[in-house]
Amino acid sequence: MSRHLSIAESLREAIIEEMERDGSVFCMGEDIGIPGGWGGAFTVTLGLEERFRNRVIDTPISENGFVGAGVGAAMMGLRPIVDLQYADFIFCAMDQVVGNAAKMRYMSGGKLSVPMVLRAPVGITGRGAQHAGNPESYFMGTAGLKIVTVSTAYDAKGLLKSAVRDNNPVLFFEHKLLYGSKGARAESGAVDGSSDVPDGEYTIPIGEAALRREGGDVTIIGWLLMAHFAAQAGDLLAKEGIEAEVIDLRSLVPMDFDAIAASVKKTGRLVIAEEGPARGGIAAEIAARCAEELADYLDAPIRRVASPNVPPPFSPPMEAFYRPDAARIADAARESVAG
Amino acid sequence: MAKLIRMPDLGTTVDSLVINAWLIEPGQSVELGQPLAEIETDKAVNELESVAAGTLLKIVAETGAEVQTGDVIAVIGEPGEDIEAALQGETTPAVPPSAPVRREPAQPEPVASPAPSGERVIVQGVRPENDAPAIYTYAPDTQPDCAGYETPFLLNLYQEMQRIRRFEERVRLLFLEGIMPGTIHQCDGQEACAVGVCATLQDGDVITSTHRPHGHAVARGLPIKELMSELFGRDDGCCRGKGGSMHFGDLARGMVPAIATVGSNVPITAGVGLAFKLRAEERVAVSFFGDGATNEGAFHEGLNLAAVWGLPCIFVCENNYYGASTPVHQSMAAKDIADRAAAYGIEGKIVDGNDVLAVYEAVGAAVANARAGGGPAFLELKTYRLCGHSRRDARDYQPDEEKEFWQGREPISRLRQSMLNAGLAEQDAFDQVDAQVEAELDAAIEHAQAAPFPDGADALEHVWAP
Repeated sequence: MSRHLSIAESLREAIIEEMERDGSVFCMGEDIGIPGGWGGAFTVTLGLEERFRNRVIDTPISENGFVGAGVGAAMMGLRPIVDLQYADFIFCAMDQVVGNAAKMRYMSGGKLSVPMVLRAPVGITGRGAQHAGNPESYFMGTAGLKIVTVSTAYDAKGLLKSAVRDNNPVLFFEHKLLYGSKGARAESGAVDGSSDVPDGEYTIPIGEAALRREGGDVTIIGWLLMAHFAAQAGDLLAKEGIEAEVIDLRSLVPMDFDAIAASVKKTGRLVIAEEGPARGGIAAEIAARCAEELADYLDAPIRRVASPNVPPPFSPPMEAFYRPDAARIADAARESVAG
Repeated sequence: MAKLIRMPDLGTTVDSLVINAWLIEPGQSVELGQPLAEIETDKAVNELESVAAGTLLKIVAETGAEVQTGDVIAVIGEPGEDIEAALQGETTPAVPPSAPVRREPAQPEPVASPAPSGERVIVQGVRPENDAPAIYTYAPDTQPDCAGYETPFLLNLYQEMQRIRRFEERVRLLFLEGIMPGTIHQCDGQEACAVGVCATLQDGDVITSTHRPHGHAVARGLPIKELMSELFGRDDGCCRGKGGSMHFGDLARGMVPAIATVGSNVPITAGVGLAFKLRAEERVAVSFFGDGATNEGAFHEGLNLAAVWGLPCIFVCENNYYGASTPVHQSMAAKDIADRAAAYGIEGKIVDGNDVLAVYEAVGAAVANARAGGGPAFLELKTYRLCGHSRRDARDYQPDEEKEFWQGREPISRLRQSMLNAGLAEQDAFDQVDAQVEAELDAAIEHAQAAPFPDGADALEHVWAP
């Protein structure tokens, strides 16, 4: 049996199940534990404060403080799930994430670990430049952090459960347009991230990509919202007789390069869709690795579809210009196939 | 016995060394650590500090000489000593025919200023009244009050402080001689803080520390051999050679690897306390930090969390009056750091940080209260660093009068004098302790220098937890 759930609902289910399974799991964050409140900015923790009275801890607006406290508690053997409300606010806690969470095990010579999950909603959504970023790329070069990026309710639940059980710090990026948050917290322009979620226990290993569409003409890679737009581009291309293979990375660190390589060897053409800016981005990293290891298989230049190197703008026409969409991804795939 | 002064290894990337100028003339006396000469590498101009005390008997490498690492450059000893035998077989660095002159740093190309918008802007400095050096003193009219304490307990405090002092002094020499890698931030003069605090703790308690962690690690009971091995970068160091001086620690022994980003350990301490509170454990978390950390946002956020959640956290500010070289009055307008605690609803206490018993009593009360569920405490320990901020810092920014004041109030001799005055121990007892400390350090240094290095590729281990 299964149910059709939104990402917000499946994440909530994962948190409840993990908190019931393991007494060392607790939640911490802004506006997550207020009776009559919102359950976090996107309703993920709604109602949890009544169910787990002492283990859903509402924090002051104090990211450096409570992310650091998460690191300290994790070192002592607890498993905090820390809610960052908006991924942009992670910069307030950068020292705790990069300086402490990521390095503490290493500096100790392997004597301790930091089993912490940082949940962080990304994406441009009509909120201007400071509630809109895709900061995934900032962390790609930071050894010691795992990075998960979820795009469906099924993945969200299975990967969050794996992240909670992982003994390393995990940055868990979610997308504001994909949550399916309801009521006052609903997002305009939302994209459907809901899916069937089976009853009962399951997990998805961190570091395994998902094949969203099979095809032999061109490989398109995406994650988070871009995984959906890549799949939509695949649908557009199919009508023209171009069979795209669409890969949803699901995790950026570790990255399932085997899945990428297998597909590129098959298609000989690669398009990478990234919501964040092209410069220094994750697509750049993937392209570099493909150039190093798969050059013999490539029949056309690798193409990146990413946002321009400007801050996320506010006004709707500029936002539409800024964010890559299915049409742009399809264009890049056509160029690749024609080239 | 004459000591040959050799050019230390200043790092693997230095190709050549030139003596720019001698700062001491033959016949003059030299103190340990006193700048002997100005030397120039292809990277920078440095002062070379003396690794011996005595009289400068001979300059072997004259001004302008090009010197290799390990070459003898001077001899220090007793006046009238015969040094020729000691110098036999040593090469004499020569002054090249065209002696290199002091290289002037390349002048940057003048950069065009932004076009003026009209009015000429004159930048006004801030707080110009602070240009005059402040003299920092703190002298409550008490001495360590030994009444009511057993002699073995007091002798143990003395031993712990002496272990830290001698650890630092031995390490500094090893460093100046060029045989210890890395950098060091030392705590000479601040021993009573580490020892007084850690003496109040139990096995399950946890401390967090800073870039200046040697004293905290020794006082928390980490084995000296493991600490010394870590400083030498050996595989059996407390962090397997991955931490070094600034990350001393071992959680199994109650010390989080030291966090060297200033103030960053304060929220971590709140998290350790949160874990204790959530699990209803009667354990306390203690955060050591300096005066400089209290200007960091992390400090304020960490204190606030501990206060609103009522966590068993003890915040210990070792106010040594300088953030690196910047005096505290240029960093904050508040007179006492303890006042800052009130902003978070925590009582802030000022304690004589150079009186180990005053520290022990004040922190002991705070720890007992926190252990019983009474919430956090903040203590400002007024103390003073009797050494440089880091490796080659001659601390010229500390006024002489101030240095003398604090030298006269250094914590180890204060405790010893109080014990002698109270008739609790004879000088013999202290001499015995000193000898034990020295033997332990001898053994630790010998052990560390003989211990194997990790392999280069061991750098790839310990990133991920299984």
